[in-house]
Amino acid sequence: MKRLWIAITLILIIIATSIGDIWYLNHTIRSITNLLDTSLSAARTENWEQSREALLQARQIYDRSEGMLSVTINEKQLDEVCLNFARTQEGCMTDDLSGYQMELSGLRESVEDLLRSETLSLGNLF
Amino acid sequence: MTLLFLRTILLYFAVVFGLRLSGKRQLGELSTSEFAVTILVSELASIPLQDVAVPLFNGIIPLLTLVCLEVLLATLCRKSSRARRVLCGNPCIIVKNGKIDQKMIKNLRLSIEDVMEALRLAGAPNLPDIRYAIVETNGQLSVILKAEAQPVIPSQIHVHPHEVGVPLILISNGTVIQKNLLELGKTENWLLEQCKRQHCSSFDEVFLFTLDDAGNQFIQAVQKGV
Repeated sequence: MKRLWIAITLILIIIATSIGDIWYLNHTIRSITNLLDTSLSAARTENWEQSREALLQARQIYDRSEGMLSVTINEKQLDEVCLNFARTQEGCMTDDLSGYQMELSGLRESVEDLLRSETLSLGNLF
Repeated sequence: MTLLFLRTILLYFAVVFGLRLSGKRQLGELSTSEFAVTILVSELASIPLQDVAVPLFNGIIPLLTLVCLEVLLATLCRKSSRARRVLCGNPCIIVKNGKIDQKMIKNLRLSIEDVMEALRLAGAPNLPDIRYAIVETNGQLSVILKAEAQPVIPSQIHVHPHEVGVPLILISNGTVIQKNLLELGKTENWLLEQCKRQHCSSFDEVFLFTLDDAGNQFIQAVQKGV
């Protein structure tokens, strides 16, 4: 009976941790993508300072969350996001809207990919 | 390199914990699900070792999940005969009163050669001697011989052999195991007396001393020069 209770407890912990992980990932990715959208909107209105500020905030949220994310997400995916952040921050410094939009879309894609790969869906299941 | 070393240690303990949790349910051959779980556990544990970019939890979570499911299903099989039938199947009689059940071996996809080989390995090579041969749910073959083909047991010839028990180690390489000594209700003085009878003047000279609850003892002295 002891083994049974340990097994049930472990299964419940795993389920709770999975749900918590999906919630945390969802919350973090949404915060980052909202800031990226803010950054792009600001860039479109030529408000590059605000755009850089929003991008920096997004980067800070990502840096704070990277430790937690690395527990469940492949390092290669996280490295991809870091690289895209670096490129996008460089692109933002040039004040070139079309270049910045391209870098930002790549960054957004890699960030959303973190969420897509962990989401409960038939595609991911099979 | 250090990361790999530490990850290996963590995974090793995770695997050991998982296998300890699944318990010593089988007394020999593994059942189908346990065999699958054992193979999978080793494969899953090796994934984070092969690529350090893969999070450690990607190996530990599936491993623990499989082991926990195994424990849950084993409990279900114990509580429910229907669940046991669905998950483990039923034992199948392939030989009855010396005759092979041809329909059953066809259902089990066994050839006559397979059956004869299994019977030889089970120590019953002669079909006329067999009352029942049963393929168990774990794939092992059990044989029940006819009464006249069974080995004689002492009670049948009115012989009363001395009882045997589980030997407990009292001395291991010169060290007295107090726990076992207490369990058998013996003292160190008694133990020393027994050693002296076997020409060992102290515990240090004894390599192995065992005693069971029926009083059967075994002593082996330390080999000189080893």
